[in-house]
Amino acid sequence: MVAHRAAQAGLKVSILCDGPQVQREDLVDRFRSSDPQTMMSPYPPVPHAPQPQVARTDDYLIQKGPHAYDQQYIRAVGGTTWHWAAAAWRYLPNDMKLKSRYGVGRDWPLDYWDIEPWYQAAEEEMGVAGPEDAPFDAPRSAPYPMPAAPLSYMDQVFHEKLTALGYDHVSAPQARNNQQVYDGRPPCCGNANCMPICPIGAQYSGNIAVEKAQAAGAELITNAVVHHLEVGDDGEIIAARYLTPSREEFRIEADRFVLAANGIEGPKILLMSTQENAPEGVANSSDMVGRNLMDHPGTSSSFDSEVPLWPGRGPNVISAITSLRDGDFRSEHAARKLMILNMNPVEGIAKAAIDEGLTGTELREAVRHRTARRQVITAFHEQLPDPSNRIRPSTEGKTDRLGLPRPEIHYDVGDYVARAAEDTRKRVERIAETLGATASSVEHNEGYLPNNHITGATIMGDDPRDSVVDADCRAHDHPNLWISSSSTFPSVSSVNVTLTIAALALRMGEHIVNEARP
Amino acid sequence: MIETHLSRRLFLGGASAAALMPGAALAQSDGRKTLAFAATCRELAGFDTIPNALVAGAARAFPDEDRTALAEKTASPDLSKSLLKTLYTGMYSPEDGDPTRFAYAEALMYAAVEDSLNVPSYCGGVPGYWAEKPVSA
Repeated sequence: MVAHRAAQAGLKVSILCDGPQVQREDLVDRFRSSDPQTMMSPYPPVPHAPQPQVARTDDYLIQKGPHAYDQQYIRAVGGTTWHWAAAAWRYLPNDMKLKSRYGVGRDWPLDYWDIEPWYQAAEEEMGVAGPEDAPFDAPRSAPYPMPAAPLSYMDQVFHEKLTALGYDHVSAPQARNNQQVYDGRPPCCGNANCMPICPIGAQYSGNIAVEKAQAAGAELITNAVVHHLEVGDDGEIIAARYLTPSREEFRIEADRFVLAANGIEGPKILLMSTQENAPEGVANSSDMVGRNLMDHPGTSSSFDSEVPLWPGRGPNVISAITSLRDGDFRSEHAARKLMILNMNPVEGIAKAAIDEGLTGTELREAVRHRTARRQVITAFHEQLPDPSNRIRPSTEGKTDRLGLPRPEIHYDVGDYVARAAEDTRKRVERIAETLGATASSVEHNEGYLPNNHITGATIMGDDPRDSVVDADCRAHDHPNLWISSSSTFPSVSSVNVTLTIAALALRMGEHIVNEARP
Repeated sequence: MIETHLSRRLFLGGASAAALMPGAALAQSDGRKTLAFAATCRELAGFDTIPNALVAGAARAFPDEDRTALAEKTASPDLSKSLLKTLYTGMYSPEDGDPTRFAYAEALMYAAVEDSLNVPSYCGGVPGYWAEKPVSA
């Protein structure tokens, strides 16, 4: 999005991507023919730019802490928005004032209303459908570009029960075309496959911005693994060095640089770039690069409703419980967003029924009966920034195929989240009871699930002594380096981070253009 | 008792035993065993008809002695479960090897729920269809 804005303004723009350009139809074919179908099965292996896999993130990420930071991401043009669920939430004003409102975490160096116009611009760019005046949705200056997606039958039944329990349950804002063509892309027709690949492009994905940037004149260089930023004597970045798959090195100079390499690879590039003018790595005079790593530690609970509700019709997630996004409780434990999962659960159910020894009509009937009733509620919990949670280049010399150090991660999830997760599970049990589930059908995941919301490791702040970038996402140490990533966020909140990344990117693009062409 | 829906999937799957044979050459050389294997598939899975892609794929996936045991109904419970998982998922998953997919949309797990759920990645209906009450809810 930054590149698109800069190219539109007539700046000469080069986009370096560590992976290949991929085509949607090829990804769909790969998904359908994959053996186990996972979040990563549509995406081709990129030997020179390893992607953490779902089953074996430890093939690439090195885990050193008490909890595994099992994030996975796509290294291809468009990145991990190829397999998101298009959840496009704004932060609440209080999400940016945790320290001053609740005495925990950190405040953002900017106010919600500083970026509100950019949230709107991001929603219009991505095509977001959302509800008007929904409880615990952020205040807004203009309507959503598209009306809220209709709730599925399952969501409607949940809505009735959750409302009776006193929860605010809303149609979630989603960057997916709702019953209309938007930006030349078709309306969603319920392929029920947002994750791992929307087959028709009704759902926004980052490749769209790259294609628009190219159309505006930007140059795209693929399979270019940036591994070093050169710092000049005046503190400015003067060049980026990158490796090709055959390990040939190139160097590209520019007046301005934007690092948008995700929340693990981005800080890793900065930390690999040690040199005379940046002995601890680029942008790291504060020693905060790589630290304050956050995610949404997740819970997932399943149960069998009394009546058939048929999850799996329409988009993968349509609705959410928002009541727990904010409140005075945040001084004690984490904010949360709970989601009613709308994914077809039949595969796991069929395998379990077969393992039980069912056969014939009894098997077929059990698969139908259970699939219609299997409900899943997931939750994102807000984690606080902690400098000891960090990513750094392998300290043991472990490298990838290009010889670059693999990411080594130390990660822990503290009591602030644990207290909230315990409460979340009790609440889900009560919700299950209301839907007629027996207590014995309720199952909770163990520990925390990763949600790939990689946040915090190039943290934003006013004080260069304890932050990496300023309120404009510009590196304190280097006036011509910006970072576009959720890695700049001082708080992770309880909502998906993509829309805020996009809003800050559009804002950054405007700043860069204004500075370059005053 | 489950309702019977004569769906497009099952209709296309073929109503005759001949349509279930994995290949002409195999049918000619070992026709009776093939028919018996297909019958075992139908009986174990609880479907009157099964798409040819599934039966043929399963026949190719299992070693000859396993296919014979299944056809002659002398298979162990574990082998029968393995066949059922193969038919229900469209993927052969041997205990000591990597899984191999030979069918996706035809998998019986999707056929079992197809009156209410579309196969993921295929369009489910007109935009917003999901707000309607499913036929079997």
